[in-house]
Amino acid sequence: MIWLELPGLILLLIGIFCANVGAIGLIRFPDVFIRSHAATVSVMGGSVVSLFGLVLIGCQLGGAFPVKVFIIALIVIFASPTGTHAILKAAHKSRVQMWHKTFCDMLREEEG
Amino acid sequence: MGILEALFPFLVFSFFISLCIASYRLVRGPTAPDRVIAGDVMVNVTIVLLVLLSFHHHEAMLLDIAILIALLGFIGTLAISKFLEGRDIGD
Repeated sequence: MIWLELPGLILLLIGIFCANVGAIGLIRFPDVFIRSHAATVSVMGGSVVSLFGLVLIGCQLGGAFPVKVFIIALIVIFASPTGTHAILKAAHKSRVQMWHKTFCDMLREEEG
Repeated sequence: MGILEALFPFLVFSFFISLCIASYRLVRGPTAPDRVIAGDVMVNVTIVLLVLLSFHHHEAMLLDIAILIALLGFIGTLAISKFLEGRDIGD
């Protein structure tokens, strides 16, 4: 079953790369609104791609393994952008200080 | 299962490095939303680690725990964002 294991392993390596890049971006970026992009790279590129690779690897374990991993991947796909959107909207509403080079904030201009 | 068994320590170590880097922002975030986003990233890496561990030990119960952690992390993020909406943090 090397033809299912090898694509799964390639997806896992892509996931490891994206998880580490996203985590480095999480500590290097200057602002909570900019850091959320790195967090999305780490979650979508890292966790979800790794979980789909693990679905391919788990197909030969049989039983409920690949189905449950696929359900976990679907939960992460739907839950993570919703949570990030909610926390960033709360951060903007509670006036978290932005980066000093930010020059455009259209949401606050709309609010007046 | 040959490839995953052979590479299991490397995979766990790589994801653990990402977990350690994200925990720096969790400890030293200037504001509360920073910590929440770092915690979200750490929850999702932990889910991948749990699935890897479940494949290594042929234990299907760990997958249920991973589903539980995903849902609880989502609910916690929403609850903290609702809590933070009313307060002034910066400025």
